[in-house]
Amino acid sequence: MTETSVASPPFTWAGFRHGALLSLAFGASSFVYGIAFGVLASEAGISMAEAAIMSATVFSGTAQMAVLQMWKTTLALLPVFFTVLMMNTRYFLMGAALRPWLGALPPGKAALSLFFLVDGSFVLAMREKARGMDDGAMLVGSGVISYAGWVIATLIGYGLGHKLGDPRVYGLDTILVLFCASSVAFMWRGRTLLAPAAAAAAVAIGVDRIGGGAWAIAVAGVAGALIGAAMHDARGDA
Amino acid sequence: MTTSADALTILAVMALAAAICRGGGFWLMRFVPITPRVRAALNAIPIAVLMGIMAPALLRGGIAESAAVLATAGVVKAGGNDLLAILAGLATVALLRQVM
Repeated sequence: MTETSVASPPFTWAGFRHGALLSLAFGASSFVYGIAFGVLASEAGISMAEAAIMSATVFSGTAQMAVLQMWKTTLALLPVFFTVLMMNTRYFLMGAALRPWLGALPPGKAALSLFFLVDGSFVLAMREKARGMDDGAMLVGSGVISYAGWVIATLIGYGLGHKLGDPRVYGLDTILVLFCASSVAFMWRGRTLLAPAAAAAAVAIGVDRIGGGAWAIAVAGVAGALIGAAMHDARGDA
Repeated sequence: MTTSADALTILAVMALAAAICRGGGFWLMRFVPITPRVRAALNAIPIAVLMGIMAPALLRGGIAESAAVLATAGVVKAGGNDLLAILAGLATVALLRQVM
């Protein structure tokens, strides 16, 4: 079976809306992290405009938090570049995983989908795809919700600074993890996923333990992919 | 609301790095034929990414977070929807953090 000339998937407003509505739950977590980032940014000697531009163009909490630390001390181009690159290696894998589905989209639509790509939207889109919903605009719709929450919250957090209480009290910091849990429960289709999932979890914990937290998700993704390929070979239907 | 030229250069470099990561994997797979074997590898990535996000967070978080994850997964398996499941998890973690 060749996949080189597959038709472009649908890309409609209905799909966009579907993704946007389903993503409101983890969009809230993006908002909470955005507030936290805004508060930290206000203390790091970066202007409000710079913080907003950063959130609007980089759209990556972990990478931005890391650069804030550098903003306070030594700021140099190359370390900043590699920090953001390392913190976001997981998107490299997610993009690869999206290729069979979105590869036939016109370049503009593909670029739009990738610009708004974020952990939660990837998870949601792959889950809905597994249930037979293959509208490509779903990914953009869910990404945009997180994006809007992230940028707006950056401004609010910067403006409010320390006047806020700790969102941890309400458990809001766990929303993304809970969203992942519900997605695992939805996506679980029996034994095939057990080995990749177990390997990914073990490897992620290992990487995190030795201090490579930024790499945990990316390494977990690679481990899962390798196990997936190995299981395919073991089934012998190559 | 001010920005310096230096800061703008830093911001541009950050945006570039983020774009390389978001677009790079997708672009690279243009040159890799998607055989059943490659497809099997790519299919395993979503669940692996989920585990990569969850596992370290749970280990760090402890009992409250783990109980919340079980509550969320339980509601999904019982046929509840997403939002309901996440709310159940949130209630669990908020409650346990108050008590512990």
